[in-house]
Amino acid sequence: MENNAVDLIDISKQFANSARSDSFAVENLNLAIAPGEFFSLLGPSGCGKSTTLRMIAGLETPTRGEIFIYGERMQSRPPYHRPVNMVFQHYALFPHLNVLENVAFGLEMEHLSRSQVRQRAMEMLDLVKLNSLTSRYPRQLSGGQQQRVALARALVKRPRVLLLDEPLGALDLKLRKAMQLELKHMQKQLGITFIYVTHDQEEAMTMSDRIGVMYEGHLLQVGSPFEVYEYPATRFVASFIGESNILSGRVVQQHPNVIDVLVDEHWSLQVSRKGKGEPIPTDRRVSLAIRPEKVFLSSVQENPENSPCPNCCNGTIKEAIYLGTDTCYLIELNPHHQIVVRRQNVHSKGFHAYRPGISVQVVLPPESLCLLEDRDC
Amino acid sequence: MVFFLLPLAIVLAYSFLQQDIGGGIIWQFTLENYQRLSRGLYLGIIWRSLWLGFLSTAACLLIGYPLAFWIIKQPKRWRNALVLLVIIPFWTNFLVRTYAWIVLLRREGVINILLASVQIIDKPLDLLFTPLAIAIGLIYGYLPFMILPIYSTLERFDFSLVEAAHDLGANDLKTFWRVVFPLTLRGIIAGCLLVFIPSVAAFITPDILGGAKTIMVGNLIQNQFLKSLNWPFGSALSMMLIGMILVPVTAYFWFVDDYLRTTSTKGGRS
Repeated sequence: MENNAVDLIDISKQFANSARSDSFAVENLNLAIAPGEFFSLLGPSGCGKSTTLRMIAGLETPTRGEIFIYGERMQSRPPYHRPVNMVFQHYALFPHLNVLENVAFGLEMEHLSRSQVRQRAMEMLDLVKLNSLTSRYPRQLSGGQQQRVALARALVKRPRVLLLDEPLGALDLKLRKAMQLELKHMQKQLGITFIYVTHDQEEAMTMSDRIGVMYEGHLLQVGSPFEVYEYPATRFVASFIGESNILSGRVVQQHPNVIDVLVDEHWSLQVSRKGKGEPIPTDRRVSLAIRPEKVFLSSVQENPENSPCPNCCNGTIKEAIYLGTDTCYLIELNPHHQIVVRRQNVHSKGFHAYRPGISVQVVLPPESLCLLEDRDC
Repeated sequence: MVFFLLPLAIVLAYSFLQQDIGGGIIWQFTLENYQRLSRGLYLGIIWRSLWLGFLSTAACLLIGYPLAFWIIKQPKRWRNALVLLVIIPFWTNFLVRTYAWIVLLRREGVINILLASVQIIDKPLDLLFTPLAIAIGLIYGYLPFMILPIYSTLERFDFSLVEAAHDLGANDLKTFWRVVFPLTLRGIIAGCLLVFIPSVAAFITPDILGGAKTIMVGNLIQNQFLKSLNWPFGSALSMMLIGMILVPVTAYFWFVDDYLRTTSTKGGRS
């Protein structure tokens, strides 16, 4: 445990005066974050990700459980005695202090000489490229500049862990993209552990070493962006991160390498067994998830129906939506099932492979199907 | 403006005229009324008024600020009710409320009975008709004027700034002095002016709770007009009182308010 930057052990948080007094904002959460890691907590609003972050900062007290930062127990330690700093969602810059004073604020709380405070504050303002705006007040700055001041104000304290609560939420898309790369770069350069809270899955994918997906107070899955995208652990993860087609069925037979799943009692699909997964009992209700870009699509003519083809199905194109980089097809397999398929637009402009109304054959490759046990989420 | 300036001009004019027997005035210019102000007796009264005004303002601040802070920290649905409780005393006549304090403060009053019953005192305290009684009356009377402006600045105060200060290493005390206090200073100053001005000029409270012993400027002016019938001297006293109050108010609006306005509004404009 001493080797981890942050350890959360069985953390729960219940708000005393919440409307749903019996519900937990965070429940039995366990998480270990490695030093120097860029870790994102990802989830929809109200999932408890901000509460988790605020408990690490010491702004909320866990109802149960323990928090350790670099092996040190944080129980009942106030925020001003923790080796962490936070970048707040709406920056929370001090409106009565100018940029330099805002950045120097935290240093003045340490026992440093005036010249040291000034020097370190100026260094940090250089780093975030705000050295020409030191005497401006927060309200005289643009959103992006305010964001940089908030970042500088936290980083100047040289925290061992930096906590970021949706810091880019208020910025426009272009600026947000630029700041994402800059943040990632800065994190690598400084070697500080970042814990980043966001509801934007693309943002989490872009920057993180690992992502923790949260929903209704629970941590559903922790893994690299690759893992959470390719091998979602639950239905919620599969649909929240990227798009997924989700089919419900039950396990009918198990083979060494594949599992047979019957969808809607008439459509049999083979699913590749993924590594270490525990055996799933026969007849268990399961969900199958497949990414829109992983479904194969061909016209019926190209592939005569008599050729053997596992996981094949015929369907009709209902809609074709042109999205620039790809085209999104909505395909009706039968009256009960529609699936979404994406094809990259690699061909020259004006080329539409499939128009609405055309009959097509779809293939759901066994290795691209994810078997998810039906749980609450 | 006419209703405000015209009486003021009349009072100003009167203050330079001479007194006639029987409450009249003689239309002859004189500075005598102002010279009379500098007598020890009157200076003492003025000094006592300022001192009592200062004390009750300070006490109102010390009681009112924590109270306003406490109200703002309550769940939203309680807050309006609590603010209402602060305002409710205004529904009753000020005179009646001040008389009520006699019942509380006199020798056989509620406070003495209570203190005696828990055996803190063995003989009743002389509370009524003392400067303390006046101070209590003033604090009681003007406390809402302190609470309301402070409450309204706290209502606009962004409490995530407190979290930010804590996060940056400031303990509660430092957070208060470096962040909360400067950002609620406008409310504090407004509250202090609203309490100080009527406290210095008060005449009902010292009249009722101070007895005849402790006269404040307000009583003095009242006496000049209604008892001594010396309107010119009463006018001179009034002008001096206005002058004394004008100094801090103008100073505030000239130097402080502008500065606070530029720094205490919330950030976010770009």
